[in-house]
Order: sequence, then C-alpha cells, then structure tokens
Amino acid sequence: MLFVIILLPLLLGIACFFLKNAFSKAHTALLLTVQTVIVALLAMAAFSGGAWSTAAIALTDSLTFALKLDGLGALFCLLASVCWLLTVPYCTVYLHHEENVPRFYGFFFLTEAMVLGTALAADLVTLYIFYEMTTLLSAPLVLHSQSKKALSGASKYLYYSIGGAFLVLFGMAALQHSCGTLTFTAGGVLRGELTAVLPAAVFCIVLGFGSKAGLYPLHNWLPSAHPVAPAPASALLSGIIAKVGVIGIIRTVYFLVGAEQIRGTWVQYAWLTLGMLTVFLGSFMGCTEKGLKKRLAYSSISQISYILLGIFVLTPAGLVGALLQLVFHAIAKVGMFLTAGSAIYLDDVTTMDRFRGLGRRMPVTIGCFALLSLSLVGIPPFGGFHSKWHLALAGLESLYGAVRYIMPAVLLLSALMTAGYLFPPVMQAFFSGEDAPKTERIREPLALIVPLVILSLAGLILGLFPDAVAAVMQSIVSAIY
Amino acid sequence: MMLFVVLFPILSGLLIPLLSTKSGKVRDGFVVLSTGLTLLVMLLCAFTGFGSSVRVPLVGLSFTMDGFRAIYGTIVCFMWFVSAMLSPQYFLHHHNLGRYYAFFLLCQGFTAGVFLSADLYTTFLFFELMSIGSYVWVAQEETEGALSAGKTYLAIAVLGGLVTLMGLFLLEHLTGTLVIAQLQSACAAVTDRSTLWAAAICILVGFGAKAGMFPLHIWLPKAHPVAPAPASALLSGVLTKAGIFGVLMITAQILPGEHGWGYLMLILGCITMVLGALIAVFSVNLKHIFACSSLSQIGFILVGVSMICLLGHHNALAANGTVLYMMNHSLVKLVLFLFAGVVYLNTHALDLNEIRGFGRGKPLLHIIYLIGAGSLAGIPGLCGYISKTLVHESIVEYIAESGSFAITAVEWLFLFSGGLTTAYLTKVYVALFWQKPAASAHPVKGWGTPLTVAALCIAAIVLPVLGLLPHSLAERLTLLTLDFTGGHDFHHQVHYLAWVNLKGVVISVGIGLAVYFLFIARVLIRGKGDSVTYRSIWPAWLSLEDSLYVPLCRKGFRLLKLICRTVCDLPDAVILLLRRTVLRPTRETVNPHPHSRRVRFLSRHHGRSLEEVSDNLATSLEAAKRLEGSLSFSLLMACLGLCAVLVFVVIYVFC
Repeated sequence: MLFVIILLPLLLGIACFFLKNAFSKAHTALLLTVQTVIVALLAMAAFSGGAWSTAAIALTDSLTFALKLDGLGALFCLLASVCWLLTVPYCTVYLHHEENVPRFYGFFFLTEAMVLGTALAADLVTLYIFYEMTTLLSAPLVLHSQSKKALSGASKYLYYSIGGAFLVLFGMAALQHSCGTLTFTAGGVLRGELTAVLPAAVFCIVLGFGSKAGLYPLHNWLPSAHPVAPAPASALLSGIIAKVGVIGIIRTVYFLVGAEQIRGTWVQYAWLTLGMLTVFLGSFMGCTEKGLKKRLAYSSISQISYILLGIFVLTPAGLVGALLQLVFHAIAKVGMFLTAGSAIYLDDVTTMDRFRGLGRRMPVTIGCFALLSLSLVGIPPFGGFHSKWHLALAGLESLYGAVRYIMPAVLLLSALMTAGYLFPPVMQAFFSGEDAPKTERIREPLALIVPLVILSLAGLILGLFPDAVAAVMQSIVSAIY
Repeated sequence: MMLFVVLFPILSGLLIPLLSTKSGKVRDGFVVLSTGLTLLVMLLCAFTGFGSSVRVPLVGLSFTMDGFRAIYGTIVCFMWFVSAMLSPQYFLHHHNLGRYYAFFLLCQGFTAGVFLSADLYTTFLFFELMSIGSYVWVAQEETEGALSAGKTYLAIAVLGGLVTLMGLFLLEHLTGTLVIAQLQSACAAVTDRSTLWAAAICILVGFGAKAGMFPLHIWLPKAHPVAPAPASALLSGVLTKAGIFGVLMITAQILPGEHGWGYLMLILGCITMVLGALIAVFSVNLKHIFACSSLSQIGFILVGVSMICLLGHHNALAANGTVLYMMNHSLVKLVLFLFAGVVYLNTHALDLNEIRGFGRGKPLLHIIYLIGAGSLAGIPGLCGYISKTLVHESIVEYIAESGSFAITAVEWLFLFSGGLTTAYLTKVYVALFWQKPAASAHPVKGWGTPLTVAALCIAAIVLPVLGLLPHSLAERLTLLTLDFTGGHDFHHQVHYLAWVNLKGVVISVGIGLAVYFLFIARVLIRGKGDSVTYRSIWPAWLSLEDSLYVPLCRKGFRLLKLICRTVCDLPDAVILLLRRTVLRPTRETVNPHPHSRRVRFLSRHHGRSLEEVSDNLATSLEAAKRLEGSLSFSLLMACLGLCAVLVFVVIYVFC
C-alpha cells in the first residue's frame, strides 16, 4: 500500500514527460484523477487506524530501507497531497505562460513522490534518500524558466540543500555509532548518559535539515529560489517542500534522540537562539522587501521557524503548536503564492507598490489574499492565531529563565512585522484612493480562484474549531511521547 | 438568544454582498430591519436571560449576561440601530456602499461579542475582529486623510492587539484561566506580582489604545473625523467603550485594590482629559472637535476608573458614576455625531467657517443639539449631570480620605476640563445657531428625511429621561453593574440637586464661559458680524505622531534594516569571499575566435556559418563555466561536511 502511494505519483511524473499536448482536457482529467486517488488512498490509510508499514529492505548490514505510516507521516502526507491536488487545476491555467510544460509536470509529480516518501520513511537512511531526491527533483522546478536569475536561484537552492545534507550525513554517522540503529522509534532510542559528541551531532543534523526549512544561517536560498520558480512551484516549495526539513528535524529529535535527552542542554538553547533570530530576521527582511514573491519568501523563512521554535521547546505542548503552525502555514503560504501567481498571470503585478487598486480588478483573488494574511498574522479566529497561541504558551510554560518571556515576545514582534508587510498591500488594493490607476475588473478564471477560495476558507473554518484541530495534533503527539 | 445577538449581524453582514446587486433601497431597508431586530432580541435577552451564560462547544467561545453586559449590549444594539436609520440619507450619493454596510453589520456582531464575552479569549477574538473590521469605516471615503488615518488606526490596533495578546499569554500562564468571573480569585492567589503587573500593563496597551488613552490616543482625533458620520458615532460612542470595558476588567478583576494601578489610571486619565479638551477648544472642524471631546471624556471616565480602584470599599459613587458616565458619553456622542452627519449631508463641509449659521431657523435641530451638548457639559436635568456629579463627588471623597494636595489638584483639573467642555460646545453652538451663514453658503430648508429626524429624536430623548429619573432609573441600571466594576452599594442616597453637587457645575460652566469669552472670542475668532472667521492656531509640531512616533520608527527601522541585512546576508558573504579567494575558478573561459580550428570544424560538420557556430559555442561555454562554478560550490560544501566528519573523528578518538 505504502509503495503504491509513492509509486503512483512517481509513475505519473514519468508519464508526464511523454505527453504531447499538456493542456488537453483528457490530460487534465488524468492528472486530477490520479492525484485524487493518491489523496483518497492516503486518507484511507490514515483513517483506517491500521499499522501500515513495509518490510525493511537491507541495503547493507546496517543501512535499511523501510516505510511506515504513523500519525505525523499521515498528517504531512495528507497535507502535501491535498496541496498538490489544489495546485493541479491552477497549473492547467497558469502554465499557459510557460514553455516545456510536460517537463514541469514531470518533475512536479516526481517531487510529490519524494515528499511523500520523506514523510513515510521509517528510518533515517530512507528519509535521507528521499530528502536528497526531493532536493534534486524539485530543483528543475525552480530552474524552469531557464533565465539567468532562475539558474542562479536554482543553484543557490542546490548548494544550500546539498551543503545541509552533508551536515546531516555527518550527524547520521555519529548517531548510528551512538544509537546502534537509525530506525525511528517513538520517544527516541537513546538511553543513558549523553556523550560530548552526540549533542554536536544532533545539532548538525538539525542545522542541515534546517537548510531546507530556512533556518539561519542556511536560509538565504529561499528569497533567491522562490521568486524565480513558476507560482505553483513556489507555492509548494514554500508550503510543503521546505517543510520536508521540518519532518527531518522532528524525526531526528523526537524519534531518534528523544526530546527528554537533550532538553536543557546547550543544544536546545542554541537552537532556540537560531530559531528566534530567524523568526525576527525573516519578518523584518519581509518588511524591507518590495518584490511580492520575495517578500513572501522572507515571510516563509520567518513562519517556518515558528514551527522549528515549537519543536525546539522539546515538550508535547510545543510540538502541538508546531504541528498546528505546520498545517496553517502550509494553507496560508500555498494560497498566498498562488495569489501572487494570479496577480502575475492576470495583471503582471510583481511588486507590492503595484497592488494599488488591485482589489477592484480582481476582488476574489485579493479577497482571498486578505483572508490568508489575516491567518498568517494570527488574527483570531483564523487558523494562524491558534498555532501562535499554542506556541507562545508552550514557550512560557516549559522554558527557563528569560527565554521563557523572550520567545513569546519574539513571536508577537514578528507577528507585528508580518502585519506590517502584509496589510499595507491589502489596504492599498481595496482602498486605492480617488486616483487609482486602473479599476476595470479582470475576469478571473475559475481554475485560478477555486483553489484559493478553498484554501482561505480552510484557514478560517479550521480556525473556528480550534479544539478539534488541536485534539488531532494532541493525539499525534501523545503517540510520540 | 445571546448567540443570536452576536451571530445574526455577522450573518446579515455576509448577506450584504448578495443584496448589493439589487437597488440600494432594498439594502438600506435590510440594514435598518436587521439592526432593529437585533435590538429587540437583545432587549428580550437582557430581561429574560439575565444571569445566564452560554458556552459554544468546539469553537471555544463563551458568553454571559450580567448587568453591565446587558446594559452595554443594549446600548450597542441601540446605537447601531439609530446609526443605521441615518445611513440611507447620509450615503445617498456615495460609492462602495456594499463594503461599508457589510462591515457595518459585521462589526455590530463583533462589538456585541466583546461586550457579552465571558472569558478573555472570546473578548480578544472579537476585539481583534472589531478593530480590523472597523478599519473599513475609517478608510471608507478613500480620501487622502482617510487613508492616512486608516493607516494610523490599523497600526495602533494591530500593535495594541498583539501587546494585549502577550498580556493574555502571561495571565494564562500565571493563573491558568481566562474566565473573567474566575480571574479575581485566581489573580489574588498569584505570588509573582511583578509578572502579574506586566500582564496587566500589556493588556492595558490594547484596550487603552482602543479607548483613546494617552499616549496611544494618536489615532483617535485622526480617525473619527474622516469616517462617515454614522460610523464616527459608533467609533466614538461604542468602540472606545470596548477599550474601557477591558480597563474596567483589569481594575476590578486582575488588580483590584492595587493603589499603584489606581494612580496610573489617574495620571493617564488626567492627561487625556485635559489634552482632549484643549485640542477641542482650538479646533475648527466640527467632527474634529467632537472627536477630541471623546478623547477628553475618556479621560474623565479613566479618572472615574481610578477612583473605583483607589476608594476600595467606599467606591459606590465612583463605580456607579463611571458606568453612568460611559453610558452618557455613548449616547451623547451618538447625538452629536449624527448631528454632525446632518450638517455634513446638507452642506458637504465640516469647517466651522463654512457651516457657520447652518442651524438658524431649525428649532428641532437646535433642541437636539442643546440636549446633546448640555448632557456632555453636565447641565442638571440631563444624564451627564448625574454621572459627572457622581464622579466628582467620588474625587471629593478621596480628597477627604487621603488628604492629599495632589488629589485636590485633580479635582480642579476635572472642573477645568469640564469648563473647557462647556467652552468648545459653546463655540460650536454660537457658530452654528447664532452667527449668520457665510455669504457663499446655500440656504438649506428641510434638513433631513423623516427617518433621519426620527433617528436624531430617538437618540436625544434618552438623555433627559435618564437625567430626570436619577434614582428610579439611572441608579437602578448602574447598580446592576457593580459585580463587573467591583463596586459597592451606596451607603446613603445622593441628593443631586443639593448645592454641594450643583456647585461643581456652576464652577465648570463659569470657567467654560470665561474661556469662551476671554479666550475663544478674543483670540480664535477674528472679525465681526457677517465676516467672522475661526482661526486654527494649534501648532502642528505638537502632534505626538508626527513629531515623535513616526520619526522614531523611521530611524529605528533604518538602523534595524542595516543590521538585519548584514546578519541575513552574512552566510552569503562568507561563501562569496571563499569563491573570490580560495575557490576562484582557475581558468578564464575565452570566447572562441570565429576562425579557430574548433569553430571551423563544427561549422563544416553542421553546415552552418562561422558566426552562428561561434555564438552557439560561446553560449555552451558560458553554461559550462556556470556548471563548473556550481561544481566547485558543491565541492566547497562537501569539504565543509568532510571537515565536520574529521573534527568528529578527532574528538571521538581523543576523548
């Protein structure tokens, strides 16, 4: 079953390379159907309650390849596949501007297979393989336009990711030595005293996976790579692919090392410091940036580090907050990059100052953007509020000394700056003043707005039932502890 | 039923876009009916559901109905209803009304949610929604002033909201509960008082900003005048009270009886009170005068709040007076801003120089203005007199209790601000009802449709009713609110018409008339008879926003930008440095000469011209160069990884 889930998008991706007419109705129908089947299979597996896993295939004596579906994996897989499903119809319209569409679709689905594989991996080696493949197969998406900028963006993405992966590799070797196994076990496999090397090794792994998640100091590829990719790709890059790093970190910290083992060590404080620095830097740089997609990329740096901060708190409450933020950020950011794509596609708007009067021209798109930014800033009752609520309280309750107060303060400061870079364009779009440049309405194709509407309503409706959503996360987290 | 009051307006608001495609009349009717229905249900709810509470499962919201909430819920619904009645005529020739009406109704639900909330989570949720939703009102007209005011408004609202959220985090962390009814005992048990204080101050920032408390008041005088009049009435009358609601909650539940808190409120209250009244005296714009007046009145209310805190068990006068003061101010501002709306829709101006003499020959309007202004100035027979007397007496009581000279000064500031209130109201009164209109002004006969007239009359009639029935109505209402304000019952009856109480009004009005005739008439008014002009001499550099906040933010932003940019790009810089030094490409690629052997060979092979082949080759070489660069880069990273492994091995072997 789990192999089928990964093989389906893999085969679909390979098949896409050989398509002649990428925009035919039959083709779109095929993509949508297969993608729906993937979502359905995942949902079935996730909700059946059965323990899905595959037998381990031994690569060498100590390295194995195995898949397993647990709560965390199911959550992330479902999230990823739904986001892919929503992006497919968007692509069918958006890609009219692009060339080499079959190639794009090919890598698009191959990447999905790898992302699903990363979440389903049952040990660190499997995860590492899928993680590297995700990087390699998503790079062509960034490179798609083949412009000079795209080339440098994609190579920056590759450098950082591969550099990070080396760090992970080093850590993996150290871990393998100390733990004796790299198979993920809820609660971690390390017992007893920590050696001096081990925290350093774990630190390196987190730093390495952090390169994907935009953690300082390996964060700088996001603002270069996101803006140059076609909008659906940058949406998934920011919403899902960057979070593959988050999955890697959760798996390492909670399933191999054990959160209890490293709580209170220098490693935790180093992580927290890096996390808070990233949260602040990302938001602030977002405020100073004029380009629409670049601003969103900086925002991703900051918002994904919220997730990491939740993980670094190293308590169940923190992890619940992190998972909430994972879901709500994915919803908001996929939606926002798609909005940015619509603005580019329909009206050639690429910078924030050109948002003036845009609300009149494409009310649905910008309306969705407004709802999503409310969620991202964390205005109740939108989803983003609840993740911040959980994160801040977790920080207050489980950390020590001044960090306890600094963490919520940094989160809120960053929320303020998030409002600072998201609200003004929305305000300008709808309240353009008496001398707005253009006001006639543009026809917004259905395929461009339906995914947006679904995402923005999802952010609102999930936010209206915070207890139910938090209960789901709680059950996932309690299975880990 | 309580849920109906909150949800029905929200649902109606969401329906507006569907109705907006039809004719405006249907929509106007729908808005008036919707607000009217909500008012009826709210009244019913206040009488039948008193003391009940509702918790919405899953969503996590909870509401309750006690005295204060019943009264303020009713005021909210009443004010929305009356403003909705004025709206059809006011907006006759305006644009973008769908958006305005949608948010008008949405905000009614949000505001009702704030006042009916039973826990701070619910309060905060609706408070934020209300703050952000009402941005639409401020920016509705899309003039330059409106957009700039909207910016300030939203900035302060978001800032305040987030600081409040920090306070809520701290509070939840310290007490484990956010249910308002449980806070008092939970907070009393907290040993970490300094953190509790920090929480209280943080919560105060958001609520105080909404109330218009100094130094977070900067948005208020900008935003109230630019919003459409029916919205200004609500901004000024109700939304500021949502802020006071929070301040009262802190005073009574989180830090009850903490004198430090009382003094803080007293100082901030006094500054707000005097500052607002002073600017109002200087202003020449009708709505700006009323907005600054709101500022000043919020100061009065804060002084009342401080007295609730300071007087402890003897705070009956303060507690009843403060709540009555809030009610009075809400209702008065409804009258006055609707009045301003009527002036604006007839003259399309708000400057006193242009609207001068508008009220002449309009007896009904004259009476309505006198009722509103009289109540604000605290003239006996109107609601404002009762509330002002109660708060004034509470200050006198505290002077007796503390014997402090400073509190006597506060009493004089209180009376002086009351005097300034009279002065600016007189200024408006004389300008509008006694002076002759400017020669260029068009004479206006009928000033409003029946619906508009009805709205003004309904709004105005409540004030004398409350004022004339102090014991049997006003006090009975405020006594219901003592649970919420942490007040105590009266020890003895207050004789409102005794000379001790009347004296305050006489002094205030005396000061007011003196200010008017000695200062306003001499300094601010130039000319006589038909050629009167009002001068605006309030110096612009006194604006706290323009002279302090904005420059400070700008400088801070620039400095931070520099630092952040450096820190952010530091890793890139290191890599770049390495590329330029250690990992520099060794071989420079040279563009192939068109007649080199390679080119000639290729040209022969593909049957193309030399130039074409040369160009192609150049492109390929360029790409190869890039690839090489990237390979070297990967190698760099690989080296880093290997170095790390080496370090590990070294440590591992030697430790």
